[in-house]
Amino acid sequence: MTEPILTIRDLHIEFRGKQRHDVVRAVDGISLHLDRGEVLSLVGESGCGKTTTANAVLGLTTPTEGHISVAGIDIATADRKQMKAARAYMQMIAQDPYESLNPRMTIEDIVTEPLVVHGQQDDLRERALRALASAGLTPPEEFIDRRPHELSGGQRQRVVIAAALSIEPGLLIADEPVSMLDVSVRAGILNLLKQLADDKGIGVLMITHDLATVAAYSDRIAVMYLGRIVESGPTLDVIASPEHPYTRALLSVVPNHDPTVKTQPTLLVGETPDASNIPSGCRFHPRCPAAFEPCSQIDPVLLATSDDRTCACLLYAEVSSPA
Amino acid sequence: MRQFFRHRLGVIGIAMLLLAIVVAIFAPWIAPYDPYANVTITIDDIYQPPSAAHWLGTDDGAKDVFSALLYGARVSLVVGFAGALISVLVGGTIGIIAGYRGGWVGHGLMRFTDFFLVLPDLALLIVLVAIVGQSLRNIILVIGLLGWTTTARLIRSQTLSVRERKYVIRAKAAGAGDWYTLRRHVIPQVLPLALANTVLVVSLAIIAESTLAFLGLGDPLLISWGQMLNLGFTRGAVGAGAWWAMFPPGLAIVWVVLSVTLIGNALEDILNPKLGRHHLEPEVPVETPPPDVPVSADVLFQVRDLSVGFEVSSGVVTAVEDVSFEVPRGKVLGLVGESGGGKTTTALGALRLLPPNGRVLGGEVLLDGTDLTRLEEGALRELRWNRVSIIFQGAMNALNPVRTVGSQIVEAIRTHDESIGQKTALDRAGELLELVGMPKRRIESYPHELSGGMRQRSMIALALACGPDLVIADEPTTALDVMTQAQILDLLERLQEELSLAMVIVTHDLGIVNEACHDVAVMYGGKIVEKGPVARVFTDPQHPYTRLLLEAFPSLDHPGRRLASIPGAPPLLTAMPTGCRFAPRCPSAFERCREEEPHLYATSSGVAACFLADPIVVAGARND
Repeated sequence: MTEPILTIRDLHIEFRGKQRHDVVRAVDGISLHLDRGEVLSLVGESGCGKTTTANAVLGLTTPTEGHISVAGIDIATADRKQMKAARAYMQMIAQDPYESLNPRMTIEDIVTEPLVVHGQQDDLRERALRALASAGLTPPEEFIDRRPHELSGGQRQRVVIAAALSIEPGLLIADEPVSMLDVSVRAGILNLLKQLADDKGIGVLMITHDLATVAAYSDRIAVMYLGRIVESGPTLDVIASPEHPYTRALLSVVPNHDPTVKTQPTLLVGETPDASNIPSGCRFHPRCPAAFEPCSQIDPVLLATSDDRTCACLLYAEVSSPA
Repeated sequence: MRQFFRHRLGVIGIAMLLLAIVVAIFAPWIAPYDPYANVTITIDDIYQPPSAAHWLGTDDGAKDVFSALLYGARVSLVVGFAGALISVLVGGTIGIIAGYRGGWVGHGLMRFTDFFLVLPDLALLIVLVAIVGQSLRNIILVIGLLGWTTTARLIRSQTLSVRERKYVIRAKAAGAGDWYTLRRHVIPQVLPLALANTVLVVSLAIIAESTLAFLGLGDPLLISWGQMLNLGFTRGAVGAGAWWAMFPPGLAIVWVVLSVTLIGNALEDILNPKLGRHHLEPEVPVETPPPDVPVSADVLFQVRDLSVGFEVSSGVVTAVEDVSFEVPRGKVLGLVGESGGGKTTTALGALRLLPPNGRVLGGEVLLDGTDLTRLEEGALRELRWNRVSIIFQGAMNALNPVRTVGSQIVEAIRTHDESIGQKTALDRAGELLELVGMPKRRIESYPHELSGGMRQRSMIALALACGPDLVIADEPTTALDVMTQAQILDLLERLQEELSLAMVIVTHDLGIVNEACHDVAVMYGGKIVEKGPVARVFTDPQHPYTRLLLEAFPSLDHPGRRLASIPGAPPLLTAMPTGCRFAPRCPSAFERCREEEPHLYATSSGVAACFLADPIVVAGARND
């Protein structure tokens, strides 16, 4: 087996809170890995720490504790040269294609920006054309000299992807890549990301709140709640038979557009607590419909529930610990 | 640039400034006399009133005032522009470094700036010039080095905002260094603002120079406008009644400062086009008497052939065309479509809450038989909130941030029924909050103290404050988390049933329509393309757009299914295709679709604007 292109071990990220002594534990000990050609979705609600995790991988946020390695380079200890190599290896696709393109630049300049930044000045136009074509903007000649405002939302997001592809990365980090786009063009962007993973072996870390949309496009899924991963496994398995009560509730409330299917939503009470004030025991227990007595005292760890699935819930603790 | 020339005052400003510059450059050729020349004079030559030989008379030295005025332009403009250049360079550099670096460097630089900002400018100016000596170069330097503070603050805040933009973050994540980011992204974005600011700094520098010269601290060897004023004052022009020695330089200063200010204002207008505009201003109603329109008793809200347009520079573009739908009492209609489809414009247009350039172009909006498009403003205000209320997208913007939730609800209640006392209204506000699932004590809370879900709940409580019959909800759950969205939807459904409200939900989410609405109207390109009961339309869509939209929408019932996307992009308002508006993206389109626009045909599940639903086409297909 080859080494994963991205490994995160026991990552903690803390911020100072609003009050002087508050500590916001945005990411509170998560571990994950991503293989070549794999699409992993990090799913959760706002404030669960998924974007903070992505920012730490991209080197935009400094972890408090823990270890991140990209293509074998340890982000925390990397020197300038190694960091530059890591930055060329991973590329970011941001949420809002309207804000992530500089309105004053041409598409060519935007797409070749990563190359210029890394001092690869040869055949820029040629490589931009190739990247645009790979991102599904064909014929690329028709797009390369335009400016962002002349393109639709879906086309802009393809330009962002083309910019990421120009430097031939091994890892794409896509933060809510389709949430700002119209429904009719979302599938095109997701198909493209999946195809890049399948054909070019690029690893894709997808950050999203939208379970239904990513379902068909990611190989594995990790569900986050309040700074922790509470459940992970192959996407279709998790969706078909969620284990953690939070995953179950989250799946049950996704609006369904088929009038012939009747759904039974599990509405959780209240709202996700503040990350500066994490509940004792299992952090989900105050809202958990399945909580029982020990949940308020014991903080469950993420345990394997089968070969390829994990879950952090006391309901499954006995299963894996033969007592 | 073209924009600028449309700005009339800006053009006048430029013309005025150009005149001053031309005069300054060509002063030696235009001026009838050389004011620097030594001439022998007699007492009769002093303070001569204007004449053919001396258009603006002579001064205390028997020099021609008109010539001095022309030469004076040189000093004023040179000091103005050179001083401003220094100020903007210093201020811009400090601002960019402070904004981009942030941290203690930024902090230190800003404290330094604040220190300079509170120093009394004029006093310092006088002291410094007195110390370094009254030469032109020194005056420029002193003015330049004292005038940079406002520029620094302005540039810093702009840099801060650019630094947080997504494309800058993306470039950094891609490995871009500071110098690259500054050169490529920050400076180009900051430059226009710096330019507009420069113009204003120029005028300040000119005034500063004039002030110094007037106080006798100008370069004694040079003629400037301030100097002329100073000499006039100190050498008896007032006593001699020689107004011609005083007025022209004063007016010249006003002339140049005014021209520069006009240019600056024009630039500012262009750079901040939204300045001073209110977003949701009600428009003027159509002034015709309300007709009596019979409506069937159970239909509460009926929109007939509503068209809405926006005034743009090239004319009026139609955003919504001939939209008709009705909402019976106690029923919920979903208005669904993608961005640009016209669903929000339809809702806002129906209640006459369009942005200032929006116009209802035609049609009727009947609420219990009253046509809202023809109602006068007072009567309409009465109706809003009492009979119909709206829940906006993004509750943070719709709630007043500086007032408590309770006081906003109380205000809504008491504006519409003055007989209700403060105490009763406050009790009612508490009850309303409980109704929407919030603790009563939250009436004391300010919007920023609430979570997104709570804010949306407050917005719903506010909408229900006056007991409306109809509630229009514009994307009520967009930007909320999945679980919060489910809670809010559940709340809306419960309230709708309990209070038997009629509702229009504007959304892009087909799932919400299915779970919360009885009927659905699908919009595309500003028109309704399909309409009918949700259970029918979603199981057996008749319009290709509805079908494709359903296929593009993810479902957890078939988690492995790849979604279909619709090729192409929605049409632009300014470039609507001829024929059917969906034809360019439609897989089933045939020739007729590109030539003729389909109207709504009756179908098995309602109505659809598609030739495939045309009875003639249907019959033809059956015969084949």
